[in-house]
Amino acid sequence: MDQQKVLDLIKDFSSIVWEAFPFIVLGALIAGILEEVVPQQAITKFVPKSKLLAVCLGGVLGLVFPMCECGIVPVMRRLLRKGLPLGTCIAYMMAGPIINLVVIGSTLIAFGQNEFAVIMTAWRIALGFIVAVVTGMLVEAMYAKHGDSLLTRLARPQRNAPEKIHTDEPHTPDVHPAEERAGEKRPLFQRLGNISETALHDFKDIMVFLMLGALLAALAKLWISNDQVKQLSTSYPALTILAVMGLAVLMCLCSEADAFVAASFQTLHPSAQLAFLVLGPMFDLKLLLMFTRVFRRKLIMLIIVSAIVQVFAYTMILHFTWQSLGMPLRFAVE
Amino acid sequence: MAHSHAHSEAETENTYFLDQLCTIAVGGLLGFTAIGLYMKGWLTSKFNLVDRFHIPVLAGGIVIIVLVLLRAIAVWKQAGQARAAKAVDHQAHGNECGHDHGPGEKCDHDHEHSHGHEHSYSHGHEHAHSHGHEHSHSHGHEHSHSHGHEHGHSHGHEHSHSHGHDHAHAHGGGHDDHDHGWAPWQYAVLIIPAVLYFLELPVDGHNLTKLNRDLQEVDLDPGVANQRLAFAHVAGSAVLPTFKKKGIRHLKFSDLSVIASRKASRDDFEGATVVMKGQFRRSERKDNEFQLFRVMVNCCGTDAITLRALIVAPEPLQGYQMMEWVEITGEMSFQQIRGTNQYLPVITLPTMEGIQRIAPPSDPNRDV
Repeated sequence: MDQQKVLDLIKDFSSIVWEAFPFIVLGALIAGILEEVVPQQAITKFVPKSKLLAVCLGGVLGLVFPMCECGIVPVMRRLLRKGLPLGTCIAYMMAGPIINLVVIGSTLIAFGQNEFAVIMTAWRIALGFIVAVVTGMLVEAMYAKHGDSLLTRLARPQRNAPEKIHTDEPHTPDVHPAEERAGEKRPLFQRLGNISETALHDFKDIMVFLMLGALLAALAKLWISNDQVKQLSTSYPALTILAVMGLAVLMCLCSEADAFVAASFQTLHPSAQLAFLVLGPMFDLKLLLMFTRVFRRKLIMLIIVSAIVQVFAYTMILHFTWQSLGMPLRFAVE
Repeated sequence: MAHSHAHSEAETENTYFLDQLCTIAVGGLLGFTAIGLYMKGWLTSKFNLVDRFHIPVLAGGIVIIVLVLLRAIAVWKQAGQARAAKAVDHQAHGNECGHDHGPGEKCDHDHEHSHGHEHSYSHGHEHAHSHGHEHSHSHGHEHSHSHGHEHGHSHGHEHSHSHGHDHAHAHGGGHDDHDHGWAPWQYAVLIIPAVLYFLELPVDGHNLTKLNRDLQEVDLDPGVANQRLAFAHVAGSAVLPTFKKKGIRHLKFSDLSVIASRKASRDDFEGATVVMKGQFRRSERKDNEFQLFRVMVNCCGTDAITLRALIVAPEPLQGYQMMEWVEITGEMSFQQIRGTNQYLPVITLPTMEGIQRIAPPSDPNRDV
């Protein structure tokens, strides 16, 4: 690898890291506050009893709590510990970076703020929601079978307290005694100390894997370019869609910017552009490494396979039905 | 399940504090680096990070510094409490064991710990034992008292009994040979951005590998445009009068890419006099041609898109440097890139006054 490539690798690596840095800090800070302030099981009071409704709620939570895909991971880990159902968390994690006002706005702007832009934005939201909810329900089914073994220990909700030997306190089987104290009054400095400990721990934990993912993405960019995708023939839609999905995974773009990149693929069918727009925020190299801090391998595989299969299937269907549905094409075979 | 650990309490406590100190140091370093990048303006010049991310990076750096300070004070207090608790514990052990520990003598034999005291914190977190691989074994072992986290350490609560330990017992997962105390490799990764900052890396400007790839010269179909230009040249004009349009249009590259993608807009702009600003890149094929380009960035350099036009001058170009900022005034046409359905904007300069050097914009990511 020559010197210029090394310098460019450093540039791309650093760009990804510093762009994500404020969101990781924000996510870690929120995680610290959640851990300290929110009592165990308090969140579950607001979650519908129906699993489907709970997962659907997760799919639209991004409208209320917008977070980019980097910042969502530490927040979600703490929400899981506080009892938010796993399927709801997964749906929020997958759909949140797409279904939020910032990304909706940037998608509209990227595609030109016209009829075509509205259609692309609407399909991005719809496909993002469907993929997230279906994946959330699949995760719930897997969770019913495997339980907390799907999660890393840190992400597991505290349930039956370990047997306590040397205490006179009554045994509370469902909630860990230490967790019950979250939300209690404590001296401010102690609270701040606890928040800072959790926040710094989560910041460190997530940042390491973000950096490793950024390094992988920067390496991939040395050999893969947007133009290679632009050259793909639209005679082979399956190949095109798979190629842009691969590009979305390798490029590790933030969900605000990927709309502009997708819009620049003017020779590609809108279905291929949508595949790029829907899969990218849900799964890429840096997210894959960050997932390992929350989920076990089995669950990570389910999330990845579900996202990839669904995105491919839905965009293939869209490709063949696009014009029969009367939707405009915006690319340059004119 | 109680079992004996072949560990030293002092060692595990040291590991905990070492982990905390490293976290504080690395966090502080990253925080100062973020602030330094903002103050020096390197977020744009080195990373092409757009303006709207600058304040968030600065804020992130400040927040991390504040968290680090809070944590440093808390760890300082914990260390003091740990020392005091050790002294008390040591005395208590001496009484319970029925034997005396001389001054400075370690109590290194196993005995049950009395835990009739409270854990007054609610943190639940692992202390840095990430290994980059899965732990498929259960850690539910292990402590006869509860912490809500994997490997207990003292957290500034009433007892200072530390639990970060070497696992000398079987996990059933083949992990007997490693220490769960802390993971130095994480800190080595985390300091990379700070090291790059102090080395003033990367260098300013765009990703040149990508830029050179994006600006590779392409073969254009001769088509109608070249024939038209050939006739026009004979007639002494860049464009035949039938194609000329009145008025001067100031165009941005982002507009141009949209115009080039549609036949109706290409026809509309064919022959129009346009003014555009961009960066210079000499052609390797002809000495009177060059590429005018801008790099469009929406978030950071990673999502950069290179937009370009081919500029044809009446004479060979002298003295212009790669990446130099210029403004051109010329007549627009479009030529199809051979083998594709894409069109490249081609702007012909009627005279050499059609190219002027300009000062670089203060924000190269604006108005692309």
